[in-house]
Amino acid sequence: MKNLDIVLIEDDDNDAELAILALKKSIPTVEIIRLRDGEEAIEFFEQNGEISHKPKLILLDLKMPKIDGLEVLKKIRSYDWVKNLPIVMLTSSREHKDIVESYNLGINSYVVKPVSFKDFADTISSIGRYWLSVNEESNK
Amino acid sequence: MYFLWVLDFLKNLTNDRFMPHGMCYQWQAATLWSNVIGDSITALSYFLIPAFLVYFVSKRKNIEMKGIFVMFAIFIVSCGAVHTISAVNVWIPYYNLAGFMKLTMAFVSMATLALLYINMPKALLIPSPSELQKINDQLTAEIEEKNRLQKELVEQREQLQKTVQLLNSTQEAANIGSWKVDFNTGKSIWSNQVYRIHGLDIGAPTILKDGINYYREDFRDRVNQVIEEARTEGKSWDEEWVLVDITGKEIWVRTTGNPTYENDKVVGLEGLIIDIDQQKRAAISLEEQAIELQESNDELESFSYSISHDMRAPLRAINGYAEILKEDYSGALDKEGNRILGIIHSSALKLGELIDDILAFSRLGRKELSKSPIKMNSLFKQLAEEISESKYWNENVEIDVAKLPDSKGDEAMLKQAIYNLLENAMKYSSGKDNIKISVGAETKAGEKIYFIRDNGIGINMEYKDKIFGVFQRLHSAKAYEGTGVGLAIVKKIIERHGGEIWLESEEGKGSTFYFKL
Repeated sequence: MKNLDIVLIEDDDNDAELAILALKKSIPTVEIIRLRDGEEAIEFFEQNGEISHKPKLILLDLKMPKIDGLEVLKKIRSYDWVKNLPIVMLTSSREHKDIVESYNLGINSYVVKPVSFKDFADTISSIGRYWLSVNEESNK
Repeated sequence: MYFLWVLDFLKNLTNDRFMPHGMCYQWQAATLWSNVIGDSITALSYFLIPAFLVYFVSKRKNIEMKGIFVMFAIFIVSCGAVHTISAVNVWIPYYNLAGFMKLTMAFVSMATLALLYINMPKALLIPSPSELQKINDQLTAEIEEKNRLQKELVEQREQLQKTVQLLNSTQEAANIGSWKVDFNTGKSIWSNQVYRIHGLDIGAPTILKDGINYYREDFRDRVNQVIEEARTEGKSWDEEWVLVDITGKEIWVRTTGNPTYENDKVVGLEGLIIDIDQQKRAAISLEEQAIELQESNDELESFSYSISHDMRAPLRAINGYAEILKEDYSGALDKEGNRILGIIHSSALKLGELIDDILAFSRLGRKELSKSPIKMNSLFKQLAEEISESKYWNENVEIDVAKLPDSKGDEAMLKQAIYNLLENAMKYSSGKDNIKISVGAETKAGEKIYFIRDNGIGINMEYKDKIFGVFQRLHSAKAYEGTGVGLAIVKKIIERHGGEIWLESEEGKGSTFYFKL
């Protein structure tokens, strides 16, 4: 893998495709890995503990079957190499308790997926651009 | 010797060897008859007087010292006898008999004298008629007083009975009984209603233990505990327990108990027992209903949670792909294809808004209010900025805010409510050249009433309540877009503040929404 930018953890195929489309449109060179659920995500972060190419941003869906986003968050935050990676929670929920719990578990920001693709694309692209540029800066 | 002398004397009682006493009078008629008549009449009256005395004594049963009266009678009779013999002696000289009779009289008179002397102190004690009268008067007065007191007592007792009856009927009406326990005797006193509550005959004897055993088994430990605490620590109680009456029926009662003291020592208890069965059962069923309601509310909450996640996901896909189609492939579609794509797109957006609004509405019911003082004018100032971002905003809109009194409430919620009202006013005025929205306040009966007035299309007052319902729209979605939840949200926010919202409107002239918090 040459230059991993973003790990997208999203169980909904449509949401995943739309997110990738939005990101690619805004940042044509972006390298994205999509993980389909919590299990896959935990496995990925376990196995890749030693890799030299850390992702610059993790986009994590909150509501997933079996292992949900909060559990994934709890688990992967416990790995040293993930500890300082920016994680943005993606969700449909505006529930106060979800937001609070996510922040308590150490997310960097929180995006409520809007119905409008245009809004979603704008938001996710700006988040992607922001974190990628922050990481570029620190890598220099 | 002496005996012979007496015998001789008795033998000579009627010895007539002396000359008659008439001789001494020389048979002078005047001397003789004056003596004889005087003696005879005296004798006659002396015989009659004792007869009267005896008659008197015999008639007056309660007379004291009858002996003296008898002695007087004998004495007077003996005097009469002496006068008789004196008259007889004028012609017949039985002087021995006269001497005997005089001796007898002397003996009787001495005996009478002695009796009088002995009985004098006692006789002095016998009250005089006037004293008797006085005593009698006193006695009469005392009797009258006694009668009066007796009457008063009877009246008081009647009054007391009436009071007890009133107390009993009041207790019966209020389903309240009163009771008292004496620790020394272990006995209880119950009012009629206490018996009724227990289903017992009024007046049946009771002891403390019996009273406790009428409570349902699971309450008895607590009953014993509060009694013990009252006895040893002087504590009172006011609790709700279940009582099992004589027929086995379970009744909720409220009982209160207070210790009673004698010389700073608890000697008993007294308190009330109130039949609260109906209220309590109603409260319990209400509680159960509240729990059921809470459960269905929770279900609704998880339902709305799943709507927010699961229904929005396919919607996002429809919308997202429609937008991509529109952006990247519109050239491949003809005009009709593009029009249909537009409908798919806008419908999906609309459904998204609708879901968002329903969720917002349902969240409002659950969210806790966090109240703080609110400066209404600065709230409107913030809102004026936000409202200019609204799709209903245009240059023709003029919002005029008067000086408003401050209020108290959940600022975020009120902001949402007022935003919706302002947006509503703009929406139903759109198309006009000059949209004027005025905000103000008035005070009526000490209450601050805020209003938002527009010069829009107005509504028929027939529908004034309908417009606050969820999904209630008076106009077709084509004419005025919206989800039909906006005003329902406003109403819910105002009501959650304990306030009220209403409107005045005239079709074609505009509407005024009033609210108070």
